[in-house]
Amino acid sequence: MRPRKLCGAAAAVMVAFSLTSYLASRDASAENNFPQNSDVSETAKRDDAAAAGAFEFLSKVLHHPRCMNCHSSGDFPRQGDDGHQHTMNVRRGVDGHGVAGVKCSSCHQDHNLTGTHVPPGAPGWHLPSVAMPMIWEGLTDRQLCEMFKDPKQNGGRNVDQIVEHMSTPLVLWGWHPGEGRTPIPIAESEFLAKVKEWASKGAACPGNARAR
Amino acid sequence: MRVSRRHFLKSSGALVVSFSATSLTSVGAMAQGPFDTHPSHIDPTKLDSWLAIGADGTVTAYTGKCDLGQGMFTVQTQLVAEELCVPIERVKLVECDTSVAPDQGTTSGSQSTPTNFNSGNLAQAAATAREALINLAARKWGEQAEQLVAVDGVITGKSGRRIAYGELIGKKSFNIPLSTTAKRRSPQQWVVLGKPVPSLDRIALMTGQFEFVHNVRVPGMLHGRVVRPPEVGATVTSVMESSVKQIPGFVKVVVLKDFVGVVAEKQMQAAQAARQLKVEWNPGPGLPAQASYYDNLREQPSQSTLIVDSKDVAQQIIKAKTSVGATYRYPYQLHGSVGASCAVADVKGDRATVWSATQSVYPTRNVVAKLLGIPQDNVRVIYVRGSGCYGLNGADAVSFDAALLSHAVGRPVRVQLSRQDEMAWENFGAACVVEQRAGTDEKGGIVAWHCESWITSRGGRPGYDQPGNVITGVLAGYAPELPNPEAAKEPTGKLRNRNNVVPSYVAGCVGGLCGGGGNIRSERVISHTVASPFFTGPLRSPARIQNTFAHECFMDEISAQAKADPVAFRLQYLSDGRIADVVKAAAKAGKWESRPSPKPDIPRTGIVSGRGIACVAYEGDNGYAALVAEVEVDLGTGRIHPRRFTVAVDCGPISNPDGLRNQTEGGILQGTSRALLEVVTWDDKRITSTDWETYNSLYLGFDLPMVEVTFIDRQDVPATGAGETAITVVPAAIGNAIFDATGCRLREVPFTAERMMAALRARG
Amino acid sequence: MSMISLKVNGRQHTLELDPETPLLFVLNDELGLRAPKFGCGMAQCGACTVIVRRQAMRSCVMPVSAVREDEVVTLEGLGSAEKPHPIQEAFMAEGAAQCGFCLSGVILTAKAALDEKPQASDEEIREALGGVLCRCFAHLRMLRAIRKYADSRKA
Repeated sequence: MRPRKLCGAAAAVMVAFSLTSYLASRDASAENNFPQNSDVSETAKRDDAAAAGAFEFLSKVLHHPRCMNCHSSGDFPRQGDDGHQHTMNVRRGVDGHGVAGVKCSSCHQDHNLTGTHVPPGAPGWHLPSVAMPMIWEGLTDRQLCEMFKDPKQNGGRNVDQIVEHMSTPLVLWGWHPGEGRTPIPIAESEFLAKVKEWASKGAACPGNARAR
Repeated sequence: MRVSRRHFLKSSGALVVSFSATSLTSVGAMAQGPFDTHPSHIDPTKLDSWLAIGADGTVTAYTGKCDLGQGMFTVQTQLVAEELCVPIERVKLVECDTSVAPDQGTTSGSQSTPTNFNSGNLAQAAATAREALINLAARKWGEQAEQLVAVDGVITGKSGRRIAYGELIGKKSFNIPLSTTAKRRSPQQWVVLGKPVPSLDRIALMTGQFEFVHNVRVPGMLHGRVVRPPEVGATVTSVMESSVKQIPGFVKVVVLKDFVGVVAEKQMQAAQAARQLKVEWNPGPGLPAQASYYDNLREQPSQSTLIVDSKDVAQQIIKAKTSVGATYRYPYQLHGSVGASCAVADVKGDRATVWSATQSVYPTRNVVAKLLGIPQDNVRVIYVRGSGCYGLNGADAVSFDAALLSHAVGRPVRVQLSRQDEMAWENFGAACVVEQRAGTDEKGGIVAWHCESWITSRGGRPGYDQPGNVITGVLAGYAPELPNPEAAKEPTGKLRNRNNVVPSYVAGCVGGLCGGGGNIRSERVISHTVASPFFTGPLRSPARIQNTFAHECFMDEISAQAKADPVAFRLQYLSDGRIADVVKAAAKAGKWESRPSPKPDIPRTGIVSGRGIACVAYEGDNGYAALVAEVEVDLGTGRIHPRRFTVAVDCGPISNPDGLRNQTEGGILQGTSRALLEVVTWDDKRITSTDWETYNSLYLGFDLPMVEVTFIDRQDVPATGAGETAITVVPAAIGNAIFDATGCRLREVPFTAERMMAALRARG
Repeated sequence: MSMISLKVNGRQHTLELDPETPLLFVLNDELGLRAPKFGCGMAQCGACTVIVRRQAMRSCVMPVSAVREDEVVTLEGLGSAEKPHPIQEAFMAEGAAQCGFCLSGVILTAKAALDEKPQASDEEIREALGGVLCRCFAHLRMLRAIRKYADSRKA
């Protein structure tokens, strides 16, 4: 379907740019390692406690409305700082791009618009698909971390690809969400640093059972 | 550009010579109300003001009642075709252009049908014309008029001679007044009136070709946007033009007292300028808290009217075995047109043309003239359909906005209101509180009924000279019409229940003359009008829907106390046969189960269902409706879902059953949206319901109830209005059905899920 | 300002425009098209709906640059009085309108939904129309017309 392909192309370009800048700042020792599973690269400095701690930090961001509104349960997105169900009975659709007649891109552009109560925008605006819904609501930090690392649940990504994904415009939109929406309060750079820290230190998951 | 009537008609193939200086001699014959016909530069007592026959037989008809989407264009075309015995295709209806159409005030109030479809105005003109043509042919042939027949625009004589209208009169004017003896064709004779003629605008609408006022484009036109105050009552202290001058295409900032607008070459530029313009405002006086507003409004100084008072109600209630009392609340609601309003004005010196969706072209003409300080005769207002309105949205205000901006720049200007402009500043349906008490006897029968209501008001339709009745006029320095506090006086004259303030079940007697729908003689009805902080206007069934909600729910409460079936109980107290007939018809069609409410053995969980009935004589005598509502209530969420509506409507002889059905169905669904969802909200400074996220409405995805419509097509009474009748009974019917289903009485609209849950919790 | 090439209802246009101009304004002001309307300017009502890439799009929030080389189809491009599209015919037959302001949203959203899912159930059709407003509430006729059109496609 055309919209997805084009958005995919745009996203790919974005990923390439962010990957370039990411690689430039990456620890040289891990530069050429792209592990195929969630196990850590032999050459990275593994530190489970630090990694788990980093993920706990990330979890706060992941539960912010700007992220949770598209990673909550149900076959619909949410909106607003209070996470109410998206108005107008908008639905996920099988592929996460909406249902017949009502696609995300019917209203959402690839950038924000001026004013309040207007659709926010970023390239490739959509929900996860039904097959891989990426629902974080009600998970403990450990469960969320496990889901994050599981290629069967995270869109087939390894840890490094997860890190790349965190720099895509759709994710980073959370820090520039447009008028009337509270941006993620933790600095974008700090978030990205924590993501890298988690990954580079072995991507261990927190042990506690506290659900959010 | 002012086109004289003569010129206009010359170019369309007919000649009209019926100017008179504004004739006041005929004023006595004309009613003076806002919906009636008034003299102007077009003399409505003359036939040529209404009709012209072209040489080719085309009938051009002029009307001051316009089609807003309610079907008036089609049905008036049918009327003219019927009375003149010509095919519909041969009628060219010209509506609501002040250069050529008579002044018929406002198209509104369910008055277009009574005004033009009975014995006056357009109907009278068409009948007069038919008789005049017959007489012309009769004289020409030396035959008796009674022996001539008109069919398809051709008159045939007894001798077999034939002549077409165009040949008979074409190019000449009638030069006769409207005839008071002209006979209408009877409903039994109708070949096109009374038939479900498909609306004449369908094809253009469905193929996207129809011209709305939003589509009007004029050479040299610029785009304007207004900058409304950030709070109610805020006034301008300064405007910084430099904040927008660098926007490409910027033309001008216009400031007139508190009216602020911007003009630019393109729409996007004007919108940007409006957003960006730096304006300093003095704060407004603040708004009363919404949470306590219903109590607040009852304490305001009021203009009070005592409508009926048998002088014994208090004693009867004290004496009565028991009594029932309840207070009902109805909120401000929006017209909420889908399209924010738009108008185009072209002001050149002391002349102006305005393309407007106003329902009142002549009043708008006069107010534009007043605002610009130019002669009325130099202003031409041309009605062009806007977004469906059902009352007073921003259409008049935006016409004034466009006139002011065009006047300031000397070029045509199109103004498009934003969604926020439209919703924050339109003239709302008024908030209303109704407090009732009924004395009841040992059988639960009604012995006395006391009804006291409060309704809010600020401005309204601008009429011919009240610019301050809408936002633009206030901003430009005019005052709105407000209630004039005064104590109630003794009622005089026969009851006219124009606002449905009087319940249908009381006798409505004043000085021995009884004009009510019922037989309860011990009655007192008093109403208070208080000043509103917000503009109010005649939203579909204004005051009538609020009052009927209260009366019909209260009647249900009384019948529940009496453990009586709500239908049978009502019929006991109705003396108006037409109300009784629609009640019976709706009950029959709705397979009404005769038993008291609420339903016995109501479960405590799951989904419950119930039925309710409500009825009304709209304005006392301008249409009759009864509605049976069947609803489901989800006891877990409080969501209320109407499943079936059965409505019976009596509006006299039906002009177009298809149009009537469309209006009735639409009214029922709009009533459902208003009953379940719609409420204007505000904080301490401003309106906060300014878009569709903050003002709830049913969307097209709503799971629709079944709607069954029964018409009582009476031929022997005058035709009444029909656009507002069905909606009037919807909130009460739903409220009564909710009671039947749950045993809970909701007395405040809208019936939100939260209110339902609170009532269920209170019930236990 | 840039030169933008735009294909609308089968015709190619070249316009000098700010590429951020909402498509709706381009259609109404530069091309004189009537059907897509400014209802809210916020994608909340659907009155501005057009079809691009077989999808119902809200032209009031879509910058004209986002159209790219694809064709924009408005309600008037779908069919004419002489040759109406079957969905337009169904709406005419049912008299499915009152003021008619909302029709671009209703007809084009329904068409886009049925183009993607010809076997759509009544519930799926309602889902497709969940963001379309008709404030005259001509819903009953509109849904009947859409069902009539959907059934005629299957035939």
